[in-house]
Amino acid sequence: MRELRLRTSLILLLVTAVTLTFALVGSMILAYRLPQIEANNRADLQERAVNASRLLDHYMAGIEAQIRTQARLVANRSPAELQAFLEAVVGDGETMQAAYVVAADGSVEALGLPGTRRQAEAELRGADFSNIPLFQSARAAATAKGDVAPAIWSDNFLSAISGKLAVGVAVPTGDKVVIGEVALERVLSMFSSLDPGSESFVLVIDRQGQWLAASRDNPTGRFINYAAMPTFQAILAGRALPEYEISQGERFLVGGVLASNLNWVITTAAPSGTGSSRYLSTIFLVVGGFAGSLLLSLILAPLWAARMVRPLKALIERTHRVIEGDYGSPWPRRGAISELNQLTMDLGRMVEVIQTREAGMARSEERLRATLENTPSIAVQWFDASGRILYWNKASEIIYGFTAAEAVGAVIGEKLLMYPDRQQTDDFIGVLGDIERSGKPFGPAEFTLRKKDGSEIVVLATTFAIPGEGDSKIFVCMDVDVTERKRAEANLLDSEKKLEAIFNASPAAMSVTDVKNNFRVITVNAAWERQFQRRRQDVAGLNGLEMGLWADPADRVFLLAALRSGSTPDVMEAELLAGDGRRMLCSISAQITEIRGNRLLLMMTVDITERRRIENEIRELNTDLEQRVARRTGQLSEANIELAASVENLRTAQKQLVQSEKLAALGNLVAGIAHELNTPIGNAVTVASTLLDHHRQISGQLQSGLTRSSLNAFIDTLGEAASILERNLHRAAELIGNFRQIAVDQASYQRRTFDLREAVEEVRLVMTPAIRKSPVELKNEVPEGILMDGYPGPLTQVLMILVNNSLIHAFAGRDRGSIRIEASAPLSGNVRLRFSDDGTGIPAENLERIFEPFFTTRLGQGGSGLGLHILFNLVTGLLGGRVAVSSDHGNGTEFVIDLPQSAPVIAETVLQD
Amino acid sequence: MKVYSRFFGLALLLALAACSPPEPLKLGFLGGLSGRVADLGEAGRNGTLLAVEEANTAGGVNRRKIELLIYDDEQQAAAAVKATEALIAARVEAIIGPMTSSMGDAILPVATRAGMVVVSPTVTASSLSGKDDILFKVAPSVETSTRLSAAFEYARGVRRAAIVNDLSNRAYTADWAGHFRRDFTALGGEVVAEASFTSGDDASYTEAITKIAKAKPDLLHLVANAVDTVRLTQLARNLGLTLPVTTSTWAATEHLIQLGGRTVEGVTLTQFFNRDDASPRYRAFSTAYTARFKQEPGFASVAAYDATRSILTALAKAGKGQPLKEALLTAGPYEGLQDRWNFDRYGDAQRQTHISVVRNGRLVLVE
Repeated sequence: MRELRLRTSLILLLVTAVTLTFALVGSMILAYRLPQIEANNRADLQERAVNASRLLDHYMAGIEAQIRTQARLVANRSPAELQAFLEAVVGDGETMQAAYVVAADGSVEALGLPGTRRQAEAELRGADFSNIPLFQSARAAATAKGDVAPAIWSDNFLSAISGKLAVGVAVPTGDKVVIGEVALERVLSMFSSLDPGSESFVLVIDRQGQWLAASRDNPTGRFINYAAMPTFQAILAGRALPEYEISQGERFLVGGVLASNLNWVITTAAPSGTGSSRYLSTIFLVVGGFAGSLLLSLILAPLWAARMVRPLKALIERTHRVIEGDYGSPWPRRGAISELNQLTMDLGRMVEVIQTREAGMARSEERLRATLENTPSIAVQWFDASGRILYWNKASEIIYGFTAAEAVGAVIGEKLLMYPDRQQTDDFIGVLGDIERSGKPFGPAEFTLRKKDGSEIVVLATTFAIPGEGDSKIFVCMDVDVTERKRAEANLLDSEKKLEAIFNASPAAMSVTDVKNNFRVITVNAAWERQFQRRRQDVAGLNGLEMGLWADPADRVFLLAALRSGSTPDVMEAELLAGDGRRMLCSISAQITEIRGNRLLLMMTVDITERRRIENEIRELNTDLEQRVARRTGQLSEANIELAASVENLRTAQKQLVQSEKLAALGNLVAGIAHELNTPIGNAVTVASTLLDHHRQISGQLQSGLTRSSLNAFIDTLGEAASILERNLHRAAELIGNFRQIAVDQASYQRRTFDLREAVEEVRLVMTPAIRKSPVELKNEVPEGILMDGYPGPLTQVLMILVNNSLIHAFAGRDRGSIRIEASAPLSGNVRLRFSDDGTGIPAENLERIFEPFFTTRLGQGGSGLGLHILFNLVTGLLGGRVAVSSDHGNGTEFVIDLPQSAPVIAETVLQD
Repeated sequence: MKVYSRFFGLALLLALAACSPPEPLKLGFLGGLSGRVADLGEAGRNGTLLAVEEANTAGGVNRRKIELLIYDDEQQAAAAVKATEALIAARVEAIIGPMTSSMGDAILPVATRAGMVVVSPTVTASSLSGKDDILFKVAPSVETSTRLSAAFEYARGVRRAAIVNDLSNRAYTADWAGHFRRDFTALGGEVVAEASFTSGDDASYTEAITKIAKAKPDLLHLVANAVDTVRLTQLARNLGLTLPVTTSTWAATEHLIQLGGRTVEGVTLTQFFNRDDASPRYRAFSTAYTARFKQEPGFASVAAYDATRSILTALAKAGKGQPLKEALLTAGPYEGLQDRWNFDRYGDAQRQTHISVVRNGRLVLVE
């Protein structure tokens, strides 16, 4: 619920009271008054309808009387006389527009029309009106009731005489009927003068539901057929009228009667509900009254509220000052409201009492606080249930290092203070909860806490609850610092543990036995357990004899005796038994010590079985070693002699193979020369023989007579042949020159300057016969102008080995392939020559071995396994370069040869080799 | 505070609770409801009213109730135009009426300007037929009637016809007279005299009859309403003329017999309405009509009922935004009370016509 100010609440109270009162009273007024107004209106309407009916009756009775008079005159009068009478009745048509006498057969006997229409009288005489309902009704009434038949009033009908809508009255007389017609306009004008300006209106309807007249002219209303209107039906049937009539969306109150003589329905209607001015003004009055009083209460309420609130505010103000500690100021003056005066007095008295009590409490608290504050070395803290620190004495400040200002007000769950972590504060708060539930104190218990400077502190703490404010409790925690004591205890324990650890960690087997208890074992160390394969718990409480430690119990007796006599041997050797029965030779040293009144035998046993065995073995070996060294030296010298011999053999074989490789290269060279020379020399031979033929012919012709043309032809041929011969022979000479160069280079390893591309071209030339036989293409892509200073012979030999290897290995079984020789421009005196093919490549496992001598994959098929070995030697040796190979098996092989542009200078003797 | 605001909320709710039903569809009726053509007007008004009431009982058109606004044209051009303007201002969907061709002539320009569809139950003038205009006609055209009438008269031996027509409904009467003359002459007959009168002007009646009596005709052909047919026939008989009398469809209302009695015995006329129709549909209508209005339905009632039904059918079938004129031309054929009928492309109904004769106080169908 929202808090409200007194002023607001008073205003609301007043406004609500006024609103509710008026809403209630207004609704009651409306609920009671509005139906009453409707009932009054309805009654008024009914009265008006009756009045209108009376007026109509009266008016129509006048007309009827005139026709009745005529009817009495009909008997025994001639038509001409009748006509004169009728014309007199009609006059100028002010009341009736026609009057006529109809014979029993329906024919018009006499007719009176207004003066202006006299002419038509003749036309209509003799007309048959037998079918007109009014005539028929009058005849029927006359037949039934004789001479006393009443006048009959018609419904609205179309008159054959006037050609207009009319109502008629018929009075039967004898077997004739006298009829008067009244124009509807007349009736209308009578009603239209009725109550102009009123909310209600009168409506006259004939029995068929046709409009006859109304007090207010409504152009469309005239032509509505009212037969279906509930009010009309109710009036006609004599039933109670409906409460409302709804027409064109509007609600009307209705009244109505059936006009007594005419059988016409006279209804009155007025708008219902807010359509009525009386109704509307009542609503306006109530709503206006409501709005007015609301406005008035809205104006008055704040003023009244302010008057009420002023003394209260003063009192509140004074009370605030009391809360702030000002007890002395005067209290507000007496006002107009007695309850407030009483309250002021009571508050004054209450303040005095509080003052007295406060003084008493302050003293008692001072005593307690002094006690707590001055208690040395007992830290006292107060907590509330949530862990908030309420009090923190001097001793707490000293022990924990936090000042009271820091600690008081802190919640230990949020600020750790002396607690090392959240876990501990949570535990502590848990403890507080337990104390609150059980009411029992907790502790004394030890806690490890932390000082403000971070150092640890152990306290003995007791916690208990004392009553606090209201139902809550204050928890007192009293701590004594026991850190020093704990530290001393811990140090002692620690040193004992260290000693035991050292004892256990000792690599030598050690045992401690109790002298007084017949040398029974107190403890043994881990090394002892390992050495003797016995467990500490098995041997504790047993002596050496009881556990079967001694191989010869006499040794034990000797040792103990020695110990007792005080002449303990430094070291004694004896055979001891392990848990699994193994014998071991041990060196034993023993010492009796006295610790805290106990005489203990400390014994150390070292297993020397193995050491003794090795010592023996070493001794034996030393005597054996010299003989064996002499024997081995002899064997090694023999093997050395054998190896020297086989190396010599191998060198001889290698030389022979190199020689044969050179011969093979020479063979290639010769085959190349022969092939290249074949073409030009063959051509020369052919031309020469042709020339010889021509020579014979011309010679013949010279005999028989030489024609000039023949001679010319011969001379032409001769010139031609000479030129061919010259060309071919020149080519042959050129080739021979080249080959000679190669041969010379190969043979002599002559050093000279050469163009790298030309050297490669020479190799190509030499290898042409071999290449021709295979589907391989050799591309020399070395750029021109790379000049080398070195040994062209070995270089061509290197390239020929590579080409030859490619042809033999790389393209076996292939129908095409290519070999590419490229070179890159010299870079810092080095030229990189790249030889590559797109053949099958070299399997990875062979790649590392291809430069080894005698490594061949074609053993027994003509491969010597020396080609690439020679290449390697030539490149790395004579040419001073490096060679590397890479191959992707299946995708070709690439040799990269790096050569210095200028080959290293080598001693002549090497070249001769 | 909450409590107060809740009070105000309640008050607001109550104020909003008064919500309105869907707005009703408005239809206008225009006809002569006063004066000597009131028989035709009332019959038309009743037929229209019955159709509207039936439709409202059945739930209205597309759940909208129908409200009928009824206006009187007083058989006066000025009043008719004023009434039409009032109906246009009231935003009616269509006007049923007027009941005479003269009024049709008078209101057509106003209606055309406003795009207001006019469906007339009884307008027949050929000057208003065969045009693609805003006027729909439920009754067959004058030509259909005059051709039948001329043929019937010629067949029963008439050769010398005299025509008397009403100047107050010239659009219809002149049209009728002209067509009758043409049709009768075409058959071999002769129109020996023509006279006219003004309805309500007593003197003109005698003049007209006196004039044609001189030509010695063997047929008196009246083009007049029921009241005037009675008056003129009575006048002719009073002057000793015993020749057969025939009258136009205009006079074929219930009042002819009620007002005329023996005077109109033997008078022949042309109409598209069969009083003796025994079909269940017509009988049901006739019963409902008689119960509602305490009189029997006439041709104008039937035509007005059919006209109203055609509008309601078209409104129900019309697509959104489709003009009513288009909907009327496409929504047919319509189930009339006595036959199944439809508008041609000019909005003129094509229907059967008959010759009737007054015999023993009843209109009897002869052909």
